[in-house]
Amino acid sequence: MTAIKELNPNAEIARAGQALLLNVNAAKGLQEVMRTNLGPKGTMKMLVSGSGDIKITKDGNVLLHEMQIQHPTASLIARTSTAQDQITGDGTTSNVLLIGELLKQAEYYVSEGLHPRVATEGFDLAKIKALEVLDLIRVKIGAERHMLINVARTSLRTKVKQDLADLLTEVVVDAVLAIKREDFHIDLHMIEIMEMMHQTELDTKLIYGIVTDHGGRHPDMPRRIDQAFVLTCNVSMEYEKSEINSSFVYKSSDQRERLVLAERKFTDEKVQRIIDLKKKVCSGPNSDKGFLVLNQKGIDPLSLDMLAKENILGLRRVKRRNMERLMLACGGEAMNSVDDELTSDCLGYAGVVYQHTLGEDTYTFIEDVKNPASVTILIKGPNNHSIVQIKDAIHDGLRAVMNAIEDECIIPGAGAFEIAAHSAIIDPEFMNDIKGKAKLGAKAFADALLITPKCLAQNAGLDPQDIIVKLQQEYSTNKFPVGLDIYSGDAQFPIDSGIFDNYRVKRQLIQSATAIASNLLLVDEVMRAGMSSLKQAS
Amino acid sequence: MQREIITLQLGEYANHVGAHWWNLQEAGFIYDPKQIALKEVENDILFRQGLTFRGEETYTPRLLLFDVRSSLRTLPEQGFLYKGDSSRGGVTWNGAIEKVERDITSNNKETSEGEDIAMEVTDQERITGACYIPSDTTIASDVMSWSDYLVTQLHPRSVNLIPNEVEIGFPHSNSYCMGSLCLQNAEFSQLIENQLHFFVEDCDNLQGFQLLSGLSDGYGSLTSQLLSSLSDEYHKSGKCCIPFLPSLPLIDSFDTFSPHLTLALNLSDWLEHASMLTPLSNSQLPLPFLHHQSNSYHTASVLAAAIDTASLIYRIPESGLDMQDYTSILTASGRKLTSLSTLLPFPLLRESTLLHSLSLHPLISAACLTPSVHASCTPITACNIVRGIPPSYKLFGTGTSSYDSFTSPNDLISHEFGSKYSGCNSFSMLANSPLTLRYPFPNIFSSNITHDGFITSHISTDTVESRLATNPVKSIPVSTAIENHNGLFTLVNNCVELFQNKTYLQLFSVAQKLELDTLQETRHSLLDVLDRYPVPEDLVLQSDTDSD
Repeated sequence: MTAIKELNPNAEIARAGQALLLNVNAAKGLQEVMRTNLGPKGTMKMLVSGSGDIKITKDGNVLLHEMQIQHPTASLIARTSTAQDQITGDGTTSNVLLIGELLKQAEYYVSEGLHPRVATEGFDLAKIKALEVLDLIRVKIGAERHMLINVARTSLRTKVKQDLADLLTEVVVDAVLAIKREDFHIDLHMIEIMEMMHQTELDTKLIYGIVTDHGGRHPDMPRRIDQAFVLTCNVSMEYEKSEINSSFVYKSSDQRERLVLAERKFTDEKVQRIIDLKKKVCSGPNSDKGFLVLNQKGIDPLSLDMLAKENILGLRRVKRRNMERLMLACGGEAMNSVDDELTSDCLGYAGVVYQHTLGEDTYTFIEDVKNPASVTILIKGPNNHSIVQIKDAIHDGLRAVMNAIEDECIIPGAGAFEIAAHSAIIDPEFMNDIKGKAKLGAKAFADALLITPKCLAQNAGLDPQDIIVKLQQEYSTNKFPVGLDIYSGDAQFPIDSGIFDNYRVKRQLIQSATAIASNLLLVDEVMRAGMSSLKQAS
Repeated sequence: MQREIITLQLGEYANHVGAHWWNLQEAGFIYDPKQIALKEVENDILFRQGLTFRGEETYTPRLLLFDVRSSLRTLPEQGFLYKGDSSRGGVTWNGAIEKVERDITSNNKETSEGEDIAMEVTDQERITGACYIPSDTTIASDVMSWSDYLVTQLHPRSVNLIPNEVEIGFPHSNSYCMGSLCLQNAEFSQLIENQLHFFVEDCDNLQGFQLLSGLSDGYGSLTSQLLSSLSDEYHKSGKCCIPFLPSLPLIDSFDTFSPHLTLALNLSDWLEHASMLTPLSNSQLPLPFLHHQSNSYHTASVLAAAIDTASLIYRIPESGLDMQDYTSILTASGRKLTSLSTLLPFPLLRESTLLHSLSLHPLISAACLTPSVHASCTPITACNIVRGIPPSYKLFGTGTSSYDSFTSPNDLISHEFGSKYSGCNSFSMLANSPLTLRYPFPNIFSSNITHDGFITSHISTDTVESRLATNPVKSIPVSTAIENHNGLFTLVNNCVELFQNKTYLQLFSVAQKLELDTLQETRHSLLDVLDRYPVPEDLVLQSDTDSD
């Protein structure tokens, strides 16, 4: 048969129609798995592992990560969708749906004799038109809070329960607005996400300040400080040997004692300098203020004891990424040594510092800071899987808000774009410009776009065809973006009801889905030979 | 002052060894308050005390382990101890929920049995030493993963799963780039930072890290990455590495070449950052008195027994040595490679004397667990540990007056070691507590070993299987020696020689997206290591024929 068979009799091949069928079936299979998850009325999936660990999600990206996809085509699609998530933070489910639908629609025409190459040409033309429509219906925004709330809410309601989504919406929008600086790229790393297995999901909140997941390691350290000076430093306060290869040489226990003391003195002096600074700044009018030391290196029990005696709260091994955030939040400078330059200018300030202990975990809240340029989202939930679910949702919500700010525009949601793009593509004015059979490709593309409103309707228990007809009619009469109200089953204007999607998510979605569907359509031979890893994977 | 050590286990085999090791340590715990005076090993060095949300105290290893999800089987990611409150809240969704079962294949008979093992050991049994032993001795063939026989309970932060996207390529040997790929996954690297931070912050005075990992697979390169970040942040802490070398096939094609080169690259990375490297082989352990099969469950148990003994030096506070001291003494003149050899069990004849036992089974016969070691080299530095010689055991019989000056086993052993290692900077330690064995440690001992670890002359007629039920081996004396000698030259030399195959090197650099220059740099750093060893007379190093 083919050359590869000559070389490797074990090779498996699929050709032409068979190859297309293989790809289309994989895409349809994946679509079938994901289609029930789309939209606020989609179902949740509960993933149960062999050990009984559960994970509950409807986030397309999470699902694709967790399901070990073995089919090579399916895993190709899954990877594209994962890339979609990395670039834009959302739209994974829609991506899988659109790829599946594009192949499904094209398959019909190809089986009737349309060459896949011509079909993909039609795809490309239709894609350009769709992107034009996208630019046409976008709504310009600045960073107005209520608009961002709309975008975040639309995204989050598709991930978690409505009351929780509304709570998280406020949290993510306020978090992004807090760290946003004029003329600077938004750095989402400045938002720390901290988990606490405590209370319920609805206790999740935004904290203007820093929360660390460790506390003072000494029973006598203050649990709460009002008005604290904050020293951030990277100085080892542990007893350390001066040289790796040194050893004590002593004749009596008395001498040994003295040697230990001498080595210990080096560490003690460093701690003493910090204590001296504390005494200096917390004197006179400031005598009621407290002192907090945040050290990136370790603090050993003896040093902790010295600090505790002076009523200083000392945190050791502060995470490296938190050091930057702490400086942003509290002000001050991170000190790499406690030499002469250690003055009151290096100190930051926090209005209130307190600790909260849960089991063996202690959390330190540093709040009421001078300049909350770095904030913390504190996730609470009664168990691990609900925390993970909220974390995934918050990740997507933050991205949605950031996208909206950076795009400076948003797109009416609820299927409005798809309806508009569909009618623009099948519009005779546009169709007449396309030569020959590529028209059929464009037609297939337009029909494939409708998968989004169809799925929304289906998941809401409505009749998809009814809805599509209703929406198209509505759109053709008043030419204003019209979407689906999943609660009533009627047409609605998403701009009025505040349902908005991200511009870049839709744009990326159209581009990558078309590209990958075209590629899969053009495959006319699939072979599997050699490569032990591939064999094992499938 | 207590000095904590954090253990990292990467890869399936490392976790097999680790599982046995934690089991052995837990078997050695002394619960009986009357015997507390016998306690030698400070368990708090490797274990930590914790508190669950319900206020129950826990005692879990300071451990980070890395594996793929399928190895966990019935072990929940969060462990059994710290279960959240799943009765409250639960699912936060109004709509429908679909249930998707994963890993259905693993829900079979053996795993539920494995879970039973872990749950079966209660406190009462711990004290009395009684334990449930299954009648079915074919457990070795039923074990499918280390989690099937891990008795020790883990902290929820201990288990780290390799991200799914890179998981597929992970077990394969041609996966040098997998390690860096893993850490590029932002979520994964942040997870590691958080988990590691949890254990480090918990330590009052961190002594160092122990790393157990595969060397020739993706985990080896993940370890390289972790090591370099550890040496960046905790450069003053000791880092003892135990890489496991599988028996790699001979090079006959590129497919067989790439695991060898991966090994070489990882070895060079590790040598740069680690304080000491003790490579161990997981195949063909040449040990007398043992009948073990070649599966991971059995070989790992032997290695775990040896590692447990060798690590006593920094786990017994009385030794006065911590990990930094110990490694800096052993790795003289920058040679970080050491070998581990062991006598398992340490041959003590029943109703005989130590002197007599030593004469029949000299210390020199210790089996070397480190592969590719050029035999019969005198070590430069060595650390010997012998554990479990009962105080009542006679040193020598009458009529051996030349040994009269020896009053303790320590003197005699030191003397023996002294004669073995003449001209070598060696130190030895004698520990009283033997290695306590308890199910699920496999019964790998030959039938002339008694239940307390002595060798008897009369060989029992019982088969190994029938003896397991009646009188299993409960404890054994063990000796180990960590040695730094010229023979380790061979391992590095083998690695350097790989770099002469230009075609394969080029293929490798393309396959793993590496620059050829990077490979050459590695070669040079390996040559630097090689320079620290004298060239053995019978092994002429191929001269450096490169033009660069």
